Amino acid sequence: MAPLLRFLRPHIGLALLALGLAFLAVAAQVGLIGTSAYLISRAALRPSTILLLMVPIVGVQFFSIGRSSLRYLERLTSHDLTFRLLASLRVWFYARLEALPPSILEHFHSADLLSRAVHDIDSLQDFYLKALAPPLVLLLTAALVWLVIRPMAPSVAWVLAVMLILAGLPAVVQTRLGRRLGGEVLRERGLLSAAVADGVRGVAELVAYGAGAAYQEKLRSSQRRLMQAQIRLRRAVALGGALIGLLGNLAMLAALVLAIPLVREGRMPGWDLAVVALVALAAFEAAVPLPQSFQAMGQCLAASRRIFDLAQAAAPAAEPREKQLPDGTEIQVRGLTVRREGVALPALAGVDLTLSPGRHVAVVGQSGAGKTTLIGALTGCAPVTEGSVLLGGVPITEIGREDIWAMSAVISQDTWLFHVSLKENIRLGRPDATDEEVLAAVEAVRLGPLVAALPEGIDSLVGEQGARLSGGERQRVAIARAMLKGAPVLLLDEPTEGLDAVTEEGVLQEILQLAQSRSLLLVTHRLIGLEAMDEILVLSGGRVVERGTHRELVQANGLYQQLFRLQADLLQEG
Amino acid sequence: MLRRMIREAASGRALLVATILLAVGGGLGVVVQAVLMADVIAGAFLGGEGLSQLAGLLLALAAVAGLRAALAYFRQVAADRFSARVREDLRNRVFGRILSMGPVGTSGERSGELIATALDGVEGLDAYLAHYLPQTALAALIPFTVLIAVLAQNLLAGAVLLVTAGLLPYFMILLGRAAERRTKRQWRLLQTLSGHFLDVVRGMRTLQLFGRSRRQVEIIRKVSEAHRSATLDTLKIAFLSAFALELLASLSTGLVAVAISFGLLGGTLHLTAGLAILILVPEFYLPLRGLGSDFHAGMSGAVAAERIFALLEAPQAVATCGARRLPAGTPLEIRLRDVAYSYPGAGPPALTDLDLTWRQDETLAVVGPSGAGKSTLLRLLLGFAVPGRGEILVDGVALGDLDLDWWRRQIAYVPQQPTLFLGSVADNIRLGRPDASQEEIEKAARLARAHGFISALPEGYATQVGEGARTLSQGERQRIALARALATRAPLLVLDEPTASLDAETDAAISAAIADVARGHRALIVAHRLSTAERASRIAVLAAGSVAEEGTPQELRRHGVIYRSLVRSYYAVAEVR
Repeated sequence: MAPLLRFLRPHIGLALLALGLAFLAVAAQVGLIGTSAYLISRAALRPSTILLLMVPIVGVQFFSIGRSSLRYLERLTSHDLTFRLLASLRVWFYARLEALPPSILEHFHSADLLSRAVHDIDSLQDFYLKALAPPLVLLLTAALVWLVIRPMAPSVAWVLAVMLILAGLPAVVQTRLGRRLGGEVLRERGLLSAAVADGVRGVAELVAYGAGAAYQEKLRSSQRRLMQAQIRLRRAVALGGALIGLLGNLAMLAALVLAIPLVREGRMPGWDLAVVALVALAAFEAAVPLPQSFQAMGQCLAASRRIFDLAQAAAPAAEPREKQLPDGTEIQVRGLTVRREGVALPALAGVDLTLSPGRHVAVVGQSGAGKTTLIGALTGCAPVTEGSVLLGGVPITEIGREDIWAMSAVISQDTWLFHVSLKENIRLGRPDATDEEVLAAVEAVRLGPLVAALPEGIDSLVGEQGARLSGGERQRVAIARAMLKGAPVLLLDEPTEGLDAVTEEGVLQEILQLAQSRSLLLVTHRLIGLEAMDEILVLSGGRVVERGTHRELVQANGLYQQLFRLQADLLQEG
Repeated sequence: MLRRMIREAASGRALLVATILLAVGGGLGVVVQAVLMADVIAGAFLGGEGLSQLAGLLLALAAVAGLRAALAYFRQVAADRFSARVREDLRNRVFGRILSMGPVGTSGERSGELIATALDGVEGLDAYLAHYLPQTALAALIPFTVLIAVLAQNLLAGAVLLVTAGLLPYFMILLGRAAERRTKRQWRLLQTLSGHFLDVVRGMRTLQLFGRSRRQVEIIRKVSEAHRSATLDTLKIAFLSAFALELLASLSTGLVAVAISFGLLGGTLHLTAGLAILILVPEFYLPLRGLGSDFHAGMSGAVAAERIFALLEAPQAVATCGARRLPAGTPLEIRLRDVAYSYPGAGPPALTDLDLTWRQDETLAVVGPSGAGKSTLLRLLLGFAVPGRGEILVDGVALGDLDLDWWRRQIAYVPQQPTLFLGSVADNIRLGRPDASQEEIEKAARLARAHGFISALPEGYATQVGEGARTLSQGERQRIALARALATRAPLLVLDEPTASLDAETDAAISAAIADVARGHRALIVAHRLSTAERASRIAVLAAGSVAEEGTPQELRRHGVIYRSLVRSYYAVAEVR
């Protein structure tokens, strides 16, 4: 809990205010009921003058107005605190993640840990409001009841205070129980959501194969299992609630049983009897949110553990102590070897490569040959185990990461489209680009017809992860973005993936046009358009097994020729 | 909304009634307890009675407390069961609806939204069903019980309750309406902003490479701050209705206390009755206040419910389904005559005047640039959509006159991105023919060149696959889907070849499997590889929604203008040779 409390510290004033208001609202309720009971009891004795009743009458009105106003202020304050807490958690988490080494980040991304973390952060906003505040308010209420009742009957005061604190007990037991049952619910929910997602994505097959009814039956039983698990969990929650209610009534009974002999013996005035009993009932209102609070506390702690584990999984990426700026834009790779942790074979071994302005190099090979790692090494995202990568003559390890990234425009396989307009997505390449420049980039990647067809043109939203666009369109938006950046080095990983043949050829032409005076590294597994390249590197198992121009390589008796033949044979057959 | 929800909740009505009855029982328990308490206090205070004289009443009080706890427990259990039942029912219906919409209404962007509606949307109704809805019923019933009890004792106190209760709805409406609209909007905004953060976190690598990631910290701070102050402004109003409720409740508690004390002073009321009333007054407002605190549940539930009902009620183009079946061994020659189709909503027509015949015993390849209408053609053929104009004839019989289930059994379909469902590999292969034997499954897998890698899996054909289980490579999934199609032994094979560029070796493996299968079957293939097209007996080149060129591969290579440009761009590299 300590790290969570640390996030509360900057807002400690607000937190104390909210807590104080919540307590005062409960106190006003106790005061209202107690004063009313006192008023009625005194009135029942028919005092000679009504003046005696004036004080309690005024008190009743004071407490009644006070209670609702305090509750209102408390709600606003605690929600304000909730949102502030959420904002600081988000900012902290983002900044922390942003500073992690890219390889760790990539792993989080591919394992889809990030969505869960964001979900966890959302659930942490309840930490104060639902988890932390209710037990504290209950403790304060117990203290208040003890203070108020003690002058009337000390024994009753002790019993009530202890029973109020005991009200936490059912909640604790229930939390224990809830953790096991909650795990079951989560598991069943995961299974159901996988089944639903499969069913929606595969609806064509289910219908075409006449398997819809059978699948629906499968979903039904999966759902029934989830509901049964949920009901088991809820039963524990309901039991906790009922027990707290029972405890409140028993406290009231205990107060009566203890106080009645006192009244009889004349050690307590009779009019206080009603006060004691009704205050006992009123005070237990503070215990009502307790079962929920323990449940929320359990969830918050689990969520925070996951988040802190994630954010502290690795030390932030080491930045060079004295950052240097690259002198020029030439990239020299000498004897580069990249080893991944826990993998025996190096991802790249002894690669040499020079990229100077105007020089175009292609890297081909099968999946797993190390093509993507090479781009990672050139952007400081894959560790240089041996050898060197020089940017403008400076070792890449001595350049700040932002300066590395400023040098090149990258299209990678995890290029992300944000749920903003098409224009904003492209403009990410260069935030100060004019509308004309954005439109020119759109035309260059042949997205003109798409923009014309969209309801709001270039201002249309692209959907989550660009869902409103086809795979080929998404890819072209990424290319347009990279083109707009206008960086001296272009590093493109399978840029034409998902495009149909005609578009692919056109887009490749545009890329080459753009790259005329720049350095270009094109990673691809399709041997198309490579005759224009100054050099082609054939990677296999992380090593450069062949290099040369297209003409040289098709004549050499090597892997390139083999791959090329394989591709050409597909056409020749049949 | 409320009425609609109750109507939809028909399947759980008995449970809802039980919930409400148990709650009313609890309400009666409150009244009994109040009277007993008042009796005990008055007896000890005014009557000077001791524990021994009051023992009976105290025991009764303990019994009532136990009973109330039991009633409260069973009420909550019933409410939870009610919620579970209704959600189960709604989710089944949502999924049934998705199935009947078929892939035309559910693909692409819609799929994510539909999954969210079926899962989180339905789950979001929980608080609404288990708390808000019963609370609404309680808010109507319990105060009524209490009011009757109080009125029987003291008219003045009863009048105070009646007047405030009469004022309440007025306040609620006045404040609620204004707040509701704003809150609903805010609620959606809140979801969007929460989405914004997720979007930014998941796209962080991209932001970094474009040098925008550090600046996002400030943007996140600003967005959160804007969100906070906007939400607080709304809450200031939204909470006002709760404030008014509480103020009325506590003011009238005070007023009732004063009224009672005057009654006692005047001798028109006995202390027992006075105390009972005082104990009951908070109970009068409790359900109403509960309604206020379940406000969020009600709000988000209403938003979720709207989405669900919108889905269940969306108008649907019903595929006209006849009952005719053609005799076995019929040639099944398929002719599309002047077929046109536009997707619902805006956008240019997907098909215009498409004329195409798929003859008996021929493998027909359909090629063309993306957007030419290839996938639409398959959808019409499978009966997922009905042509807007023109007709599809099977041996001269209109597709609309055929029994659609029978027709689909004649077709084995392999989509571009096949789905493997959670279950074993064998289950996935026998999807279309659940009674297929193990030998038949293996035979289909061999033909699809999948037997090898399936046998190498840790548990062979029993290996679990699908989301969350073992992930297979795309090439492997593709071949399992092919085996699935072959296992049906349907006479027609309809195949949408994968576009995604796989590396040359994987690509070769799939192409070879498709080639094997196409040789032994009558197939219609949407070809994305020229190699596949070249193996077909005939090729139809689609462009802008109709057939632009048609002929054997040889003819098209010689005379087909579009086809030749496709060939050229595919293998631009070949010219160098």
